[in-house]
Amino acid sequence: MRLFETNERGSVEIQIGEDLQARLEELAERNREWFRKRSIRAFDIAGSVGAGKTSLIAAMVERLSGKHGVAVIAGDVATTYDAERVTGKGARKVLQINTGGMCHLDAKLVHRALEHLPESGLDIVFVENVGNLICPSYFSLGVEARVAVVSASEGSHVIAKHPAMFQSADLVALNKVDIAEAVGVDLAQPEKELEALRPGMRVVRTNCVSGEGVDEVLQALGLA
Amino acid sequence: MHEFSIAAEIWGSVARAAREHGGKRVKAIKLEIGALNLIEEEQIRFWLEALAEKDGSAGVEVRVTTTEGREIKVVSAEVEVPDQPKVDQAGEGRE
Repeated sequence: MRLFETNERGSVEIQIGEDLQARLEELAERNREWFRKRSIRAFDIAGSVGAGKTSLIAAMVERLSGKHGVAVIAGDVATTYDAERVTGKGARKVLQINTGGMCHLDAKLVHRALEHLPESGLDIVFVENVGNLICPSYFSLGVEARVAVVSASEGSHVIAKHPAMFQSADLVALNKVDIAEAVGVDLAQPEKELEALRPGMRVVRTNCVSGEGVDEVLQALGLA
Repeated sequence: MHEFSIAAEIWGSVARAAREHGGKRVKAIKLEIGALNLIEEEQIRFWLEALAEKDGSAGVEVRVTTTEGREIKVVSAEVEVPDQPKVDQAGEGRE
């Protein structure tokens, strides 16, 4: 036991000085180093619940698995549905992280998952973030780039309403383009809003069910 | 639930420091939270109070200073220490 001079309230002031964000940044850096050492290219796929993150990953894995060793880390609050949807598309390993209530992945959760990946034979890792357009924006995972998936069914102004996510992203997949007309969304509107927020940023229109635009996403990420 | 996970990390850090110093009940926590985190201060307060109560530190006082950056800093904690011998006689560990 360490001894301290107590104050009039019979207590002591302990200096802690711990910055939680700095600690998470350190962990993100460790993840970056982990990928770098193994020459693995890693990507964070983020977006709302139902935007099409899993469909995009499944479509990308299907196209890449012939030539590449691909692993998927799928983050969800509960269940293994997403992992099951990607299994069978040719990924060498599919891991499910259940955050148990946490609304985003952070570098610590990803780091724990990395320990369960095979030591060799991988060169691409997709990390599927928890379905949420807000919280994941503030936590870096230590990956190369973030793809924000946004679907036509989320409305015309989803990008302007969630600037933090699109500030943190490196590429936007504008998904479910096939239903835009049915839900009354002019796809030019979210594209215009992205251009105002991030001038020159790449946006790819996709339909991850038919496969439209998936090759372009891969090209934009330097994977094709 | 964003704030809950952050509050849980903060409480983990405070409880660990209190334990290491032989502390009993945590009476106050001092935090610096950067505005760029867009953290709802009242939510942090609520969850920290709940977590503290669960661990036997009911009524903890949470003092938050808002800063400009990105930090979520646990600055210090005021902790009750049991049966503290007089520091003058102890001769070591004084800070």
